[in-house]
Amino acid sequence: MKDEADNEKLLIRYLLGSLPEEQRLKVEGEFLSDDQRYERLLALENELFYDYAQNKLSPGEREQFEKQFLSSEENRKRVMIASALARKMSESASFETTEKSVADREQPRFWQSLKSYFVTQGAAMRVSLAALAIMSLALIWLVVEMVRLRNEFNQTWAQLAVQEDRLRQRAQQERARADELNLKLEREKDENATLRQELSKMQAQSGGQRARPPSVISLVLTPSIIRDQAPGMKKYYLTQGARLLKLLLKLKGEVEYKSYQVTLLTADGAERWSQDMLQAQRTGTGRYIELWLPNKTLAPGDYELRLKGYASDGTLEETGDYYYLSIRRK
Amino acid sequence: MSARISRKKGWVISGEAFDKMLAELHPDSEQAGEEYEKIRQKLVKLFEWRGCAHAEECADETFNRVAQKISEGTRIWADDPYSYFHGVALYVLREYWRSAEQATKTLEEISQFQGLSVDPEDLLLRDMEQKEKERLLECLDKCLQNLPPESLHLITKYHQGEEAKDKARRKELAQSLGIPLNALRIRAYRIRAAIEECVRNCLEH
Repeated sequence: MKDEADNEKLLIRYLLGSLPEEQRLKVEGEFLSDDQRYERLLALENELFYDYAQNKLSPGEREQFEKQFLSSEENRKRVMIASALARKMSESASFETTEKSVADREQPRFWQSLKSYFVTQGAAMRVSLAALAIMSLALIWLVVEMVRLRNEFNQTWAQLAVQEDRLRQRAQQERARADELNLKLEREKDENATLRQELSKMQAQSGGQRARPPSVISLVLTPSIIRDQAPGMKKYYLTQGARLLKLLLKLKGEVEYKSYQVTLLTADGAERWSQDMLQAQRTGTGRYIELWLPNKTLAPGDYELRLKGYASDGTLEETGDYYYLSIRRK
Repeated sequence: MSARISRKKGWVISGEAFDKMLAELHPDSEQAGEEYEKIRQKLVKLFEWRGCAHAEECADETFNRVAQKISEGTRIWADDPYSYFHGVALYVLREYWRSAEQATKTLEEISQFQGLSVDPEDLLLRDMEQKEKERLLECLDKCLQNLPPESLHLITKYHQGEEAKDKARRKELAQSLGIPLNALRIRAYRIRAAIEECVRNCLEH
């Protein structure tokens, strides 16, 4: 086996012209008289052309090959053919691919014809076709991108429409509530006006009389978390002369609301009286809500005053402040 | 100017001398003709491998000289005509090298008068080379299409892959075909030679 390899190296050196004269004569004598030896040498020579074309020779061998063979036009042509054939063979990605193409050769398929067409076209044509292919790919990408953007736009549009609907509904609700509050406010104003008129009438009737009971009684209520038990609960005695009860609800929390709503509830939770759109007033001792209760709405019993505030977005929130009052008959 | 082997002075090969030489090669004229062709091919390759640019002319001159000796009545070989041809070929080669040396000197003188840096003929040649390459690819495709599938399979397998793995892959291929490595090399060579021949014929037509 080793002899075989050595002999092969020797023959290659002969072909590349690097063998000493004595060995050269020996090789020539052998191939002239031995046809098999000659064909082997031909095969090795032919293989050298392919090794050269595939850049498989060492730099030294490559130089020797060029010196020995490439001075002839015929051999240069052989290198060209070897190079083209070697390239064709290396283009086949795998043995299976080659086998398949061989099997298909009798009935050439479209892609084979296409490949053949590309190979046989001129360089300019190949460049043009490559440019066309790149442009087609760019166009496909552009169309895909446009479709994607359109879908995104449609989705965003649908989301915006839903959001707009919600806002419209909310605005309608707010408007309805504002109308309702205005109506309530008007009613309160009317009521207040009536009360003031009554008060003026009463003051006129009792003009000049001394030691009459005050027609307005003021009470300051502070908030608590739990209901006060008597006697801690603030008491108010109904008097015959008093027509109005002025309550000052001291605000405890730090949160400031746009306006407030106060509801008077009986001990069993029934709503007795309510007033909206009340504004907080600031004094030296803190913030207060001032409200006026007509005495005629009050009956003896324990009451809870529940305070709610309107936030900046219009929602009504519990302030967490509760006021308790006990009404007694004198 | 190129080196040429000069015909031996005062002697021109005749039909009779040529026939005598053939008769010496083999008693049967047909086989003698085959033998002549075979020796001629080997001599052409010998001259090529010895770096002779006019290998065919040198081979023919070798035959001329052998035929002259025979026509002069010299019995030149007994059982081995090849060694005699070999010896004559080496004389022809020496003469070739002497004339080649002479030609080189003349060329050196000529090279002093190099002309245009870009030769229009060169440009034309380059254009022709490009067209020739394109034609070569066309021809190669045609020739590969006409190649038996098993031959294409073998040649592809023989040359495909990295150089470092050539030996192992070829050994494996030879084993799969049940032939020695050397026989595989000869088989691959015959296929390549057939493709090359086909391409050359295609290019000429």
